[in-house]
Amino acid sequence: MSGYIGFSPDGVATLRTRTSEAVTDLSGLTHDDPEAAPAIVTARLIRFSIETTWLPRLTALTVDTSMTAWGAVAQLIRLLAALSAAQSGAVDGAQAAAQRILDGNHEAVAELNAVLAGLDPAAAAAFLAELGPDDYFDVMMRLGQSDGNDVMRLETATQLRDLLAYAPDGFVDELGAATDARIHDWTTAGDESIPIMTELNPLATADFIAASDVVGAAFSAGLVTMLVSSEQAGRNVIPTGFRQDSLFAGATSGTSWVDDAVAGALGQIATDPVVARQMFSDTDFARYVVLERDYGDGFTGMMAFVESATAGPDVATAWDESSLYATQSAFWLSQRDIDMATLSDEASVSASQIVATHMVAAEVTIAVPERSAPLDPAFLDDPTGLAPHTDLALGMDGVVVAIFEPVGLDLLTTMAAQSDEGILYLRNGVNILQQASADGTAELLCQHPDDPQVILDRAMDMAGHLEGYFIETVGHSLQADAAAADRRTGLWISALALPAPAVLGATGLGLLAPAVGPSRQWLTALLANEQDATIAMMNLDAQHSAGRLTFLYAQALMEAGVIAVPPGLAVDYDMTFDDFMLVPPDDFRMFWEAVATSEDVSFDTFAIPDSQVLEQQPAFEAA
Amino acid sequence: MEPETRRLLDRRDAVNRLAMRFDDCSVLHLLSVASEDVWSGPLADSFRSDLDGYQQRLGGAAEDLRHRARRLDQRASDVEAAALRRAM
Repeated sequence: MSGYIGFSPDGVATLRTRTSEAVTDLSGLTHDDPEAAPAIVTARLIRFSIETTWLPRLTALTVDTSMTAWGAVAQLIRLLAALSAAQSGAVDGAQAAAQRILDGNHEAVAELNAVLAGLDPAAAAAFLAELGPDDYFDVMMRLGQSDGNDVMRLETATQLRDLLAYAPDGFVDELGAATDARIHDWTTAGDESIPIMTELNPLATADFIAASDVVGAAFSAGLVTMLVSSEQAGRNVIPTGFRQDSLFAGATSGTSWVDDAVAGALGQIATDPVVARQMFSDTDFARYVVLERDYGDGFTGMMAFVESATAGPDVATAWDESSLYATQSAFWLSQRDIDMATLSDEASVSASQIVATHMVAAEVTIAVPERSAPLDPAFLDDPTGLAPHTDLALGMDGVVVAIFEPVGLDLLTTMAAQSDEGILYLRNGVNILQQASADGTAELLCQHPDDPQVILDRAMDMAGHLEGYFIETVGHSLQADAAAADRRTGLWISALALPAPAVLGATGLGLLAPAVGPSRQWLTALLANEQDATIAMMNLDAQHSAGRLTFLYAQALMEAGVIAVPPGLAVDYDMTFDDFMLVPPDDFRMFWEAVATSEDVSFDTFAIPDSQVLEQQPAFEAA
Repeated sequence: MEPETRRLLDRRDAVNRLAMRFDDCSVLHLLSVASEDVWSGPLADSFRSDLDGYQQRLGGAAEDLRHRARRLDQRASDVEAAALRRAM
């Protein structure tokens, strides 16, 4: 055996030609004399071996354009060359069974099932390389066709999907293109011109394939672009008469693509924020899917896509883009009529994550509403139009932030308030910002600025406004259901007590933004394990939001040494608010007196409550 | 010459010609085209091994044909000799 693997394309082409000539030559070795029979049989066996084993491989290497189209020639030869004889035979068996399935032979499903179970990773790669992406999709599509042996078919389809883990380079990308082509044919042709499409279901097949961890968001990106293009051109994405049922219906990636392929594919794209942002960078596409298109899935897929593009786990590495997309999303969403009764919990959580991640932008909108309204639509195409923002307490100096028009922020917050989970995620985002602002403000005051009182007053004023805005918006977003409004407002207020697990005391956006992500896992676990108990606990002290915030600032200033507390009091900067509420009444009073009469700054214990009430006042007046 | 002798000799010649075609079969020349410079690796080795096997099997078939041709020739001689004995 040689020590290396390789081939000469020209040489292999010549070899293939000569081999073909040899087959012809062997075919001509015939004679009817009985004495010649054994030799003729030998010649026929050799011809059969060459014809069925070697000629197809040489042909695949030299003339099969479907293989060369995805650049797999070198890979195929390498993959095949590395196989043992047994695995090479298994690849041949799998290929033969796959071809019979394509020919409509139902019995071949069992053959494929058996042979796929015995493929090792190298043989799996070689099989995929020989089969090619087009036939892969078609075999998969036919496996989804019920014939009474559904368990075997679904198992075989799953085996075939699992093989993607060993797919040769470029295969998955080309599989996406093959899928696009099949569905494009389906969406652009009449039902009668492609009769086979009425028996098979390419959308369910695409959905089934997309559920593979290997495939990724890129698989869906091309598909959704094509589908949206078809929709915008007025073509029917789901013609009547096609086969609705599929074995894949119960094994899909999420939202059923058969019900709404665009929503399903958007949900799949959301799994990769890089791809989501890439898709969002096409403004016409983004405007269509966020502003114009109708959805039947409670906006789950679309909002997951928006969340991924604007608040994905890697948002800190693509902050300017994400800020622009958050600005665009809030603007477009505010322009459409969203029936909150149809909003899914998943979409609510997505909205919550967007606001939580861009909480500084929300704070700016709440503090200076006129800065954010109205937006010039032309500005939405240009990220340089986002004004830099400076908040030294957060360590931000000229950092781009999103712009939420008040109506856009109201809408996103209202969406977030439609689920308990959404409220808690939003609450956590606010908690992180409040804590970071308090710590950052205390740090600034330690640097002996010229205007310490202004810094402290503005920070506490802002904290009150931020809190008041969300209390008002969360509560009033549910006016139609007074009980739900009360409960969720209480949930919002009392969730202020939740300890944020992320890095608190963050002094910059780079730390602040990613802190939202880990919090999500923590909150999910909390909700899963202790939802009822948590809500009950939080409702007990729902009246203390302003007090908690004020104590938060007092704690930060105590820890930084800006304000001093007389020794002997049963109060410390690292105690919880709940413990603080249990200190003896005299200590409680003496503590606030000491805080309010600090030498360096005047701590207004009513600043936050006043700002909070002021922020809520317009809503009460309107009511 | 007896007609049977003529028939056997015709068969002998045909089998010999077939053996010569086996000798000159283009499959036997594939090995020179399938060198390691053209294609290398385990599968290529397997291909060359198969070609070598084909070569041996085709060579064996050609030898078998010649053996059978000789037997036909022998049978022709036997038939002719028997005819001569009958004539004498």
